Amino acid sequence: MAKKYSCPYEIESEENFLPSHFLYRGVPRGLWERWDDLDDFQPNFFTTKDVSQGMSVDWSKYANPGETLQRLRKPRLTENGISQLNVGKLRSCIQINNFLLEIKHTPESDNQAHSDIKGFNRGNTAEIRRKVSKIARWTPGFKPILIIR
Amino acid sequence: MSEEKLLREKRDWVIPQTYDWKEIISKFQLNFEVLRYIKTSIKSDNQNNLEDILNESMNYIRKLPQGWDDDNAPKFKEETIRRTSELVKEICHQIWEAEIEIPPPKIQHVADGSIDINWESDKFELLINIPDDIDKSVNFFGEYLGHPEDDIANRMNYVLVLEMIISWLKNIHALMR
Repeated sequence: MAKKYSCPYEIESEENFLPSHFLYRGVPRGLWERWDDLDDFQPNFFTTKDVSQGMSVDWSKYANPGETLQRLRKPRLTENGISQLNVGKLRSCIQINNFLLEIKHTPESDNQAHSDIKGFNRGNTAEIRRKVSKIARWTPGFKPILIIR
Repeated sequence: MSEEKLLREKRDWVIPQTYDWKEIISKFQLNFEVLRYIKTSIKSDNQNNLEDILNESMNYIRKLPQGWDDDNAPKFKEETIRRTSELVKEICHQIWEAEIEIPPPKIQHVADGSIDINWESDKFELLINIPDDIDKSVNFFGEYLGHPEDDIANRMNYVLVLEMIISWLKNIHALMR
């Protein structure tokens, strides 16, 4: 009989995401290498392949950007930059625009920081992505390095 | 200065994003025929630029392999590429025919297999997302910057998008004047 593995981490409620916290996410070269300006986040960075799952992020309460980078398949700044969304600004964006987005703590067995931004399928994704891209930034020290190939 | 020389000089150094034709006529004392020539030349430049941008962008997107984002992003379907290209061409041609100047958009690939058509200028921004499945709705969001009451946001079937976008662009152009 297979052992059922349970996540050792407690799921925290949304109010534990403080305004000063950040949500980190790796952005692969395949997306930003064609941006006109690397500091001008384009809406295509903010997406998810599985709308029902939401967009995966790491919560700064339990992860630093270096750890987020190390979890990626290619943990190098020439291949991935680490973006950050400030929780306070994200919540403000959600509230002002009446987006039906939620930040959910969804820890995994090897990643206590894992969280999801859910609710994309409940709104106009173009508007969500445009507005959120305007508050996204590169995490200091983790801006990707563009090498012309 | 001969008209031909004046025309050549002015065409070479100034192709503004928006054109105040009354100002151009009075400032350079251009007659109607010369003005029509300039407008046709600039339209032709825009069309050539658009063709170049579309060809380059679509060829790039077409060649992206499965997993191009290192996280199982799908390869782009030819149908998605075709629908994106056709919509961009139709929007631009209809708007330029109405003598409204907008730059060609950026074409941006998205990790879920959809493609963004993205206009960003100092007056307006418009994002149209063409999904990877013909049964899914096209999402779009347009902002007339500084005038949120004139924003447009909708999700609809692909065949209905063109008319909605053209109407919105013409409306905000009229508001800009």
